[in-house]
Amino acid sequence: MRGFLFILALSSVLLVAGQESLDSLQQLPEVVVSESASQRAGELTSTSLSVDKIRGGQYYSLGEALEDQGLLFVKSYGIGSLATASVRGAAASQTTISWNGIPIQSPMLGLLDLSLLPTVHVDEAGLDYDGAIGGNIFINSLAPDSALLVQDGFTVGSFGQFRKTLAVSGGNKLKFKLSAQLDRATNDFPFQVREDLPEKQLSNAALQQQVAQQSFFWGAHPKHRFELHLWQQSTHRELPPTTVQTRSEAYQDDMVYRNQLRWQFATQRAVWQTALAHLEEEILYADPTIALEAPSDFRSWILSTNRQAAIGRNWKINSLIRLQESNALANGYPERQSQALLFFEQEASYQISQRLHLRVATKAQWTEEQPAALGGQLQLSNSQTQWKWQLGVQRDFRIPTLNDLFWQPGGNPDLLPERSWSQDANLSRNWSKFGSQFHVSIFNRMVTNWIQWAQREEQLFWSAQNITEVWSRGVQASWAQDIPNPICQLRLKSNYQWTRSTFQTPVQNPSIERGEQLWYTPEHQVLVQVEGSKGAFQWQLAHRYVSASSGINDDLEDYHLGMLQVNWHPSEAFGSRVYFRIDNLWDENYRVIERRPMPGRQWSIGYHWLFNAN
Amino acid sequence: MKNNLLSLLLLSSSLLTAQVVADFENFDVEQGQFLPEASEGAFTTGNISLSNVYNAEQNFWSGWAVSATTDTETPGFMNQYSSRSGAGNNGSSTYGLTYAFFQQPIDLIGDAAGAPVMGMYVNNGTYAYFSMLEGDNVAKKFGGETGDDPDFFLLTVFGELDGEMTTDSVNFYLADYRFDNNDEDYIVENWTFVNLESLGNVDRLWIKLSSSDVGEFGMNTPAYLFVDDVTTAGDPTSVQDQRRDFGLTVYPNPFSNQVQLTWNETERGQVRLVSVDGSLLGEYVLTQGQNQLSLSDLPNGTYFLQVLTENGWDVRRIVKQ
Repeated sequence: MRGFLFILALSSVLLVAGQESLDSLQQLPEVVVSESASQRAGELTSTSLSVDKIRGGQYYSLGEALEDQGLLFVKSYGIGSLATASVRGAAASQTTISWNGIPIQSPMLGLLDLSLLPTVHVDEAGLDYDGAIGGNIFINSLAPDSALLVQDGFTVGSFGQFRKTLAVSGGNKLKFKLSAQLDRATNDFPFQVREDLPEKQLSNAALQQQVAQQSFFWGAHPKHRFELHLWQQSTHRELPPTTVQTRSEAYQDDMVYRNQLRWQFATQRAVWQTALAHLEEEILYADPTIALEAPSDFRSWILSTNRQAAIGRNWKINSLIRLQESNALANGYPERQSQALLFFEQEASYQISQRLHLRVATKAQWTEEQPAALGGQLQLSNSQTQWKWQLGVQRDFRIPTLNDLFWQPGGNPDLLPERSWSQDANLSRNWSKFGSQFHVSIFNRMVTNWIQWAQREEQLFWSAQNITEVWSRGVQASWAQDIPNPICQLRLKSNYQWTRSTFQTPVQNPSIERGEQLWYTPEHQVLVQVEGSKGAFQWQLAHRYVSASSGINDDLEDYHLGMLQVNWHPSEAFGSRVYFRIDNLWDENYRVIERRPMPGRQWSIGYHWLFNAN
Repeated sequence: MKNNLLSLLLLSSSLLTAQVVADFENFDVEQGQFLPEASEGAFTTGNISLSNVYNAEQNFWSGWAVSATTDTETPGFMNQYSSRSGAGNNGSSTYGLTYAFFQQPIDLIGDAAGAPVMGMYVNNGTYAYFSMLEGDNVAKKFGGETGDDPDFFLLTVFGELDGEMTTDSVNFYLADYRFDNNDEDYIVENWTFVNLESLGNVDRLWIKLSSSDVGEFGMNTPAYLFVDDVTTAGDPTSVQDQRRDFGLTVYPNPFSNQVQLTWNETERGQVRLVSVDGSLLGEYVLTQGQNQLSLSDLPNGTYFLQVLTENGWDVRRIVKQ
């Protein structure tokens, strides 16, 4: 720990060395949320969600929204159940999730359940393909720009679905945003395992969730601004039986507290942001049938400082230092385990010419018992012509989770961080004259020291090991096209992803062969959407194809899903909207995880009312 | 039941060497308790030694454990030490169990080393029983989604002598859902004798469990075997005492008055007719070729023909109708 403090102190000195006097403060930009040096830096490697759609209230979680817009593949155990991301064939724990720049995934598992990310307080969300091995999902809460904005949403739907959202924001010098979301669902949908067999009904699948989030933005001084973000969330989820399980009484309770205080100030040549965050989660997994109660919890303190500076007209320097201390307790830990880590990132971007832009970044992370993990990025882009392109090469890492290190039996304190080399090339073109947009990305990534729980012949138990390598490569292509016609506005959007992500080193147990595709990673995904509007109506018809994949017990068949949504805006003045939505339009009998049924055709109807006193 | 009688019959037919029963009752385990840790790395009962690894720091045991737990109601891992019967064989209080995700050995010690093992009583545990019956969050209920999956949970016992594996093995289905008629599907929930004499002289037994429910991480069915009353012999058996397949054909079977025996061996064989209760009803001599037994005086029922030669023995079940 002393070593960390020394490094932190040294780094702080380095950062402060370039600090200007407060007499030469410059005016703060109105909105600066980005903290990670590389976050959202690459225009072609970052995709944002439509915030209007997120705010609409039709999404129970951000996971639904991300998948609905074709940004990633979500490995879902069912509606309301555990959902994790698969980005370009990466493991879920290799994708970081940040909230206003603060990583919020669990240090125990290294991931965050996307089904537990509410949408009511989100002003900005999306996915960066760089920043971590599996990219970074970001959600941000921004200062409101209205004196008073009230948003009220209400949704009911199949299987007892009930959602109520309310958000009030406004203010002047002291701005605020207060949000609440309430979810309930029985999720007791019918399903058939085979057409000639009687229908069954999912049991023990109910969900209850309450979320309250508050953000305060105080412009204390023209050069100083403070933000306070508070997040409380309580979720009770019943865990339904699998299709090969007679009954289940299991449930999981999640209590989440996430708080962060941010201070932003500006000097003549730089903007500084300092954030102090506290994350706390308490999880109770219980199964009365088997007399099991497995509580676990973790707490993290994160202190970060970010400095963004411009040197001359062509150079921008971005520095980030972050200290994180986490401690956690679970039944599998002999005692409360802690982990302190120091993260440092330095980025320089240089405008070579009017068109060409070069970005160089280095980063490093230290933990107490682990060797330093080093990474970096080199990116060259051309963004000033109709044809935009970007080439990048990146070195990333992921440190082992607390479970990988300390779970008994099997935790392995000698684990090394996973490391990756990745390259990607991106090309896009916008033909505004024809209402067309085109984008294609080609990526290639090799992850070494891949952490896998495995059991060797001579071993008595499963343990975490740096046991294999995974090679991911693929293509992402999208095309959007306005379809001129005399009746309505119409736009066609299509997405295709080819992802080949294979184990490169065979493993005996689990049974992994060289060249075998990662479990639950479909090779092909297609999403075609038709969006139209006329008068007070908007509609969207979407069709998604997901190819077959392999699970750990059974193979999964490919499937086709349809979605239809119709919006009606009865009053422009109040921004009100009524929507009706049908998911799984073709009533497909499909599964994302074997033995986990998914619902057939389902509907939801709701309204979203907005009052703006700007 | 028939298997038990046959086993008893075979036991009585073997050389009556000094047999020792490993019944686990020598461990001082209170009812409802279990021993996950052996004092010197192995549990010793009768003439067998069962290896054990226990790590208190890691809350982990492997190999074998000894138990006197009685919970037959609670499914799940938390009840991993209870036999499905809630007791040992014949209601005894103590029994052994092994987690055999990988093969686990039973070492024979003392006079039993290098001698045959008569057999042992085996059972499912409550955990595996309910897992197969109802499924859990890892393993499937047997029969699967439709009830028709041909699932099984199989015990295979191999023998080893002087480091060499025996060619024979003994299979016993702890659960069998492979029947066309699902009503015949079963999961063993009582102590059942498994005859191991056919393995011949051994100094180690290997326990292997396999299941139809297998994923990339191996067998999903909880790999627990419960064992009690392992009966070992005190002296190595001679060739004469080993079971052999002579290619003896018996027809018709069932029969009404006569039964034909085709004996292809050059050496003469002795045939004993034994009832299901072990009574000797008659003795005959087998010569090469066709042999006919007139059994018209026998009442209808099941009988055993025990064939004895200088080079081994065999047994056949016949039914008179």
